[in-house]
Formats: sequence, structure tokens, C-alpha cells
Amino acid sequence: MICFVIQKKSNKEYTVKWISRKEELMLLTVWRLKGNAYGVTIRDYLLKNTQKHWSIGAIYDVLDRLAQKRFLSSIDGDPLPERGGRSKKYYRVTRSGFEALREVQHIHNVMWSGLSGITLEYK
Amino acid sequence: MLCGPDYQELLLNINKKDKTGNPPKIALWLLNLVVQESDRRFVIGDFFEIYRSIEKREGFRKAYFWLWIEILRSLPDFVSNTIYWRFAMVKNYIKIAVRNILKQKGYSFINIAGLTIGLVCCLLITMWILDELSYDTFHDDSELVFNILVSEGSEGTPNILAPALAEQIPEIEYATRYDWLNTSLVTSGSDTSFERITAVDPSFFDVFTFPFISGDPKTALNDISSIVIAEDVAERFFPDGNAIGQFLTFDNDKEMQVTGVIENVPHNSTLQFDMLVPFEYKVQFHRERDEDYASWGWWSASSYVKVREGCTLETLNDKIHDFLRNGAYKKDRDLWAIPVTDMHAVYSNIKTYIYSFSIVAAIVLFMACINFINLSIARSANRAKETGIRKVVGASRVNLIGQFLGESLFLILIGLLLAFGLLDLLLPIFNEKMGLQLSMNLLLGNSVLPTLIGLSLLTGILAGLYPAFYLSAFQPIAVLKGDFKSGPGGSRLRKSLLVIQFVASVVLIIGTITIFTQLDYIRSKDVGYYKDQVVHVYMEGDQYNNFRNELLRNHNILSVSGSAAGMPYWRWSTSSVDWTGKDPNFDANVAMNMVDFGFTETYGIEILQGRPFDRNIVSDSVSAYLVNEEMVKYMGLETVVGAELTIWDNPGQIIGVMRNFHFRPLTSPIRPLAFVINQEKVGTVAIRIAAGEIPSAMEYIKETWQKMFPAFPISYAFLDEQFDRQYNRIERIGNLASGFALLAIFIACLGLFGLSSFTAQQRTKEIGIRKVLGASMISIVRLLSKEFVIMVIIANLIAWPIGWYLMKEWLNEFAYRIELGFGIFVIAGISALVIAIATVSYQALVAAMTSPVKTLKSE
Repeated sequence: MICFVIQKKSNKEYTVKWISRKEELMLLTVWRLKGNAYGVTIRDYLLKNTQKHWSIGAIYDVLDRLAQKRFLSSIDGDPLPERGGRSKKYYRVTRSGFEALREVQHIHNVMWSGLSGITLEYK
Repeated sequence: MLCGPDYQELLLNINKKDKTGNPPKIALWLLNLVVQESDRRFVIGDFFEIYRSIEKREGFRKAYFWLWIEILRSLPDFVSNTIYWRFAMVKNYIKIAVRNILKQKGYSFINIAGLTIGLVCCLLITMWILDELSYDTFHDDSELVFNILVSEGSEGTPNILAPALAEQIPEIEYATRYDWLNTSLVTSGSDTSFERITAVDPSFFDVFTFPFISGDPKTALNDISSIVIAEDVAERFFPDGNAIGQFLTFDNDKEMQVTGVIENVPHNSTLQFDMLVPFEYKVQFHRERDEDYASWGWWSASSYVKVREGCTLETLNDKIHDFLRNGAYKKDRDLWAIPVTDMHAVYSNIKTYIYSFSIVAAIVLFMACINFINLSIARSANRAKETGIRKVVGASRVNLIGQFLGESLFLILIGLLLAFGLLDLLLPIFNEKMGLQLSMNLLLGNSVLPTLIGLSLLTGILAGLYPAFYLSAFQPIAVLKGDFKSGPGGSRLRKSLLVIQFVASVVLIIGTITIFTQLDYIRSKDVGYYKDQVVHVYMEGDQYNNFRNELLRNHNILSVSGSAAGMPYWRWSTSSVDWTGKDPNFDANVAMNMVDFGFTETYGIEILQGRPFDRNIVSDSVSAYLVNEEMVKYMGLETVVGAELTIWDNPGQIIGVMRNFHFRPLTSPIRPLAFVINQEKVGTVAIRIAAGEIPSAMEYIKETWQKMFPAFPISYAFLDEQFDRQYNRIERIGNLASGFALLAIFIACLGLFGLSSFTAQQRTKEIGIRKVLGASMISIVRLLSKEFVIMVIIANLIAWPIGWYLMKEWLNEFAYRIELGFGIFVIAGISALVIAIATVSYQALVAAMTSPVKTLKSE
């Protein structure tokens, strides 16, 4: 469940900061949805692609944490009647969020490299 | 947000345009409750959006069903998320609180230290009072046990009173006498030691609860040579264990068999003893006077009774009254009972102290709390900007109130923790200084701790409340623009609270000075006899005359005499007294003592009329009395010398009148006194030693004793030391009062310091301008100190009459006392003033010395 995120330091060395699998998936989702990432679309995307249930509570829990880590930024849309007069909150991946994704990808590649040829069956 | 008016309107519009429904209100309410604030709008919006799309596609039922399932599934995440974010804010609050404490170290120190000291003080005093009140409460049914007193104010009662009462008053279930045995030397094999031995009736253990480790309380004291000993005595004499059935020797003479071992007598028992013997033993072997031990005339034992359930103090006193009226004893004698649990307070006259010190403790704690509130309010003015920013960023009023309350409670918590730590540290020192045995256990199982903690929390809430509501009510714009001025709000209140603190401090200083002056007066007062250069040796055996003669051989020993009851004071008195011309209805009671020839010479007691006892006049040793001046007044005769006096049916003549001397503590007036010669009864040998020769003379006395009484260790005491010991209690009280006075002053000064620095801070700009315009430093210091000096002077004016009244009451306890001079008040006032000025002028100096450039540049 847990992967590394490596934050840049001034001298180009990396420090390790953990983000969870859920956070990784969430970052990816927001990244892929480009400009249209808000609660409902994010949830739909995750439901469709992970084959797991994501409750609205779970979505916001993860979103809030990512926003706190400054991996996501958000902007409020206009209030809409179909949302009962509430606005949408659009999310965007920040620079450091992008870096975090890159690092996750890198670690994945390193950790999985060479294994793709071998069968992954359980013996 | 959910109930805002524009939102309602929007909802209505939506309903008109769109036929699809809205999620049920209760669901929205629930979401509103659990979702954290910043997400609320969007979460509810998402729910709306999905709900509607499902409703459009699959109908109302399906959407409804989905909504509730989804809410249930989201609930744990929402709740944990909310808690997480709340905690993040609390973390911020704690961070800000700690930063504030560190930023204003002085303030924080004053705040916490004042509170801590106040709490420690209050706790110590409370523990002391609880300990004093716990005396004699450990007996089973202690509310049914009473001590019988006689109006003379002495603990002694007629020795046959207790049995007579038990016989005549059916309400009395058990009665026992309690009397010291003159003997105190106990031997077992080669072990010899002095013990505190008391003679009691066998019913003693029915009246009092002293738990037996072994032996049977019902029968333990039935035999005349039986003895009950305390645990530590048993361990000392019989380290092998089994003490029961073993023998102890009294005075190298009488064999006593141990029939019981009791637990050690607790320190909070008025009755303190190591060993108990049957009262019969005392009657048989330790009579001061042969025939009349069982008469009403001889008093020495205290009397205790235990009444049957349902009998109150009033009924008992009525019954005793009836008992007197029926003529069993003298009709006009006053007898009354006091509960055994009050005994300690009555005997040691400690009630006034308990009252006054509880008031003092309350005042000190009150002062500490007031200071805390005062300083918190003063401090909070600096935080208007922070509050403004918080409001701009979106803090609600509730958040701000919570923050300020929480912060002051946080300080209180630190204060409480420190207080208990300090208490633990100080308790042994306090115990040693005060001669007490207090333990932390006193605080358990009663309402002291909850009360104190509750009070501290209340203080914290009060201290936080003002900034919480006052500051949170400001318009952020006004505060941030700099229009905000912390107004004079509550400054009058703050000042009057400070005045109260100084009143308390000045009263305490007056009290301390008075107590120590009185103590000094008592110590140096001419008591009417020589205190110095006299040593008392406690006699064993009956070789007094030989011992005396032996001692007189040494030229450093100036004079030797003795008496049955020893100086510096005794309680013996008799009502079996008669003289020619005495009103037969007059119930006389005079103090008396049996002395040896030379008593007045040894102690340097002046003879005003007649002559002292003379060894060479035969009749002096049988029928001569020496009385004091008070006795002369008491008898009301014109010529006393040569008058007839009969004590214990022993007629005699008064041969001389002594100048009044103090044979009772100076708290009691001098009573009529008569001396009679009885060399056989001498128990305390008084030896006057030439000045500067004490070491060599003591050497000689010890040697002589060793030679004459090899079986007994010598036991002696110096009269001046014994005399001083009487006033130990007063000295301790004085120490306590001075300690309190110091603390009160300290706490008051903390308050003064805080308040003065606050004023100085508020007036920085004013001072800057004054300096620019050419004000001198002294004038600025004077400007800043003036109001505080006036406050202290007002406090003095209030404190003086209070102090005068209280100290007058206290001095009334003494028959011989100092006059309350004006000087005491002036000294107290000036010292308070000096301390206050010193405190204030520090701040004033700092303010006056700051460069005006610094203070004015921000304008």
C-alpha cells in the first residue's frame, strides 16, 4: 500500500516522504482528468478503473490530505442548480504533486523492473 | 450555510424549474454534522449531483436507497477526516499558546509562579488543618466519647469522678480515668529505658479504640500487675517476638506482666503513651497522699466517658448537671463534657489558629487566582491583532473563545502540576519546621483536591473568559487598521483587587510582628524566679536527702531543693482547703505543691512578708504554709502571716508570703498558691549552679547520681530550656504567619509587577512624547509609580484597623501581653510600601530609560 515520494532538497538530494496507495491513485486520477477533476468525476473515474468502491467520504479524506501536502491545489467553480446551489471544487496537480507522481513512477519502475519477464504466478 | 436565507431561496427556485427532487433534509443535516467545514459545500454538492442523476435515470427509490447507503459508507471517513482537521487546529492552538508563553517569559512566569505558590500554600494549610481536625477521630464511635472538664481550666478532674458518673448516669456506658504514673523507668533484663506510662481503668479499651496486636482487650488490664504495651516498645524489649506473658520491672521494684500489645498510638491522638497499667496499680503504689486518694479533693486524672447510642452532648451535659444538683458532688462546681474529637482543639487552644489560618489560606489562594485573572486580561490586550487575523482567515467566534479558554486552562494545568510537585518537595521541610507529621494521604478521600482543582479550573475559565469574549467581539478591520485601543475596561476592578491583596499582606505582616514581639516579651518577662543556672534532676527512690547533701558538697552547686510537682509549671490544685473566716459557701480551689526547705532560695523567689520555711523549726515540716500574693487576695484577710490554713484536713499556719511568680504558662493568670513541706514526695530536684560552672557541676551531679542510684539512668533538664519549650507552639505559629506574610507579599508583588508593567507598556507612547518634550527620568518614574503608591497607602489604611482588631483578639489569649503600639503598624506599612515601590519602579525605570525614538517611530 505504501510507496515513496521523494521531495527535492536544494542540493538535489532526495528525502523520502511516504504517500499512501490511495493518495497515489488519487493524484493519478486528478492528473488524467486534467481540467475536469472534481468530486463526482474523480469518484466515477476511480470506480470505473479500480473496480473498488470509493465512498464520497473516502474521496474527500484523501483529497484533503493531498491538498495539505500541497500536492493538489483547488479552485471553486460557480454554484450550480443541479448541485443544490453548491459549486464544484476543481483540483489540479501542483508542481510538487507532479514530482511526487514522477517519483512513485520511478520507484515502481525500479522495483518491478526485470520482473515483467518472469511470471508473476504464485508458486 | 445550509440554513442561510439565500440558500433557501435558491432551493425554492431549483424546485420550481426542475421537477427532480432534492435529497431528504435529514440526510443533508447529517452530512452537515459530520463533514468538516471546508469540504461541506462541495460534498453536499456532489451528493446532490449524483442523487439527481440517479433519480433521473433510475427513479426516486433507487436514488434514495443509494443516498443512505453512500452516507453510511462515507461516515467513517468523514468522521475521521473531521477529527483529523480539528486536531490540526488544536495543534496550531497549542503551538501559539507555547509561543505566547515563551515570548512573554516574564508574564508567564509571574502568572504560573503566583498560581503555583498560592496553590501550594493553600494545600499545606489545608493539610495542616485537616491533620488538626483528625485528632482523636480514629476511635470507633468517636462521636459517643466525651471528656469531662471542670471549670478550673485544668485537664485534671477528681480521681473518683469517672466511676461516680458511670454509676449515677445510666446513659454512660463506660467510663475511664487516664492519669500519668510518676514512675517512668522500665527494666527488662539489661534493657532500661524511660517510658510514658499511663494508668487507666480496664474499661479504657471499651471507650477508646487502640487495636490489639495480641492479647484480649476485655481482660488485659484486670490484674493489678498487668501491663499493655505499644508495638515499638514490645519490639524494643522483646525483639524475639512474643511479648505476651513476659515481665517488665518498674522502678527496679515491681514486676509487671505483659498482657497485651497494641498498635503504636497514632500521632493524631491526644492521648500519647507507651504503656498502660491498671488504675488500681496507681492507687495502690503511687499515691501522692495516703488516705485521701479516693476523695473528691484530690485531682489528677482526666475523665473520659462513652455514652450509649442516641445520647447527645446536650443530654449528657444535662445529666451531669442533674448529677451535681443531686449533691453527689459539690453543687456549685461546674462540670461539663466536651466531645473527644474537640479535645485537641480545646486543649491546645488551636481553634482560633485553625480559623485564622483557613482564612489566610483562602486569601492567599484568592490572591493567586485574582492575579492570574488580572495578568491574563492585561496580557490579552497585546493579542488583538492575532485575533483580527484569525477572524479574517475565517475563525468563528466559537473558535476564538475556545482558543483563549483553552490557553488559560493550559497555563492552569501547568500551575497545578508544578504545585503538586512543589508540595511533594516542600512537605518534609514544612513538617520539620512545624513539628508535624503531614502526609499526602490527608488529601485523599475528601473534597479538598476536587475543590482546589475545580477552583483552579474556574480561575482558568474566568481568566480566559474576558479575553475570549472581549477580543473575539472586535471588528477585525478596526483591530487591524490599528484603531483598537485596549480601553480602561476593568481597570478599576483590577486596582481594587490589588488593594485587597495588599490589605491581606499588611495584616499578615502586622500579625507576624505582633506574634514575635509577644513571644519575645514572654521569653524575657520576669517570671518571678531564676530560670537560668537551674537544672532539674528527676528523683528515683527515696534517698532525696542524702542526694541533696552529697550535691551540696560541691562548691559550684549553690543551692539544692525540690518539689513534688516540678517547675516551670504544674497543674496540681486542691479544693480541700479551709481557713479562718472563709465563707462556708465559697468553693475554693487553690494550686498547691509539696516542696523541700530552701525552695524559695533555690529559685530566687522573693519573700514579701514573714519568713521562708526553716529547717530548724520543727513545726515547719508539719503545719506551716507558704502562700503567694494572689492567695492573700483570695483569702481576703488583713494579716495573713500567722493565719490558720487547712489543706487536706491538715491544719497549719501561714508563715510567709511569696512574691507572685509564674508557675503556669503566661497564657494563664497567676492563681492562689500554697506550699507545704514534704521531703518524701520530692520528685523534681532543683539544683542552682554558679554562673559559668554548668559543665563541671553537671559532671559532678552525674557522678553523684551514678554512685547513689546505679540502677537508674539520670534524667535531667535545664529549666530555661524547659521554659522555652512551652512556647514552641507559639513560635511555630509565628513561623507559619511570617511564612505566609512573605508569600502574600510575594504574590501581591507579582500582581503589582504585572499590572505596573502593563500600564507602562500602555503608556509607552505617552512616555516617549513626554521625554521628547523634556521630562526627566525621575518625573516619569514618579508618574508611573504614583497610582500604585496611593493604592498601597489605601491598603494600609484599611489593613491597620483589621490587624489591630485581630491581634487584640489574639493577645487576649495571654494573661500577660504586650501593648499594640503604633510602631508595629507603621513598620508593617512602611515595609509593604518599600517593597511595592521597589517592584513598581523597576518597570517605571525600564519605561523611562527606553529611547523615545523606539517608542514613537511606529506611529
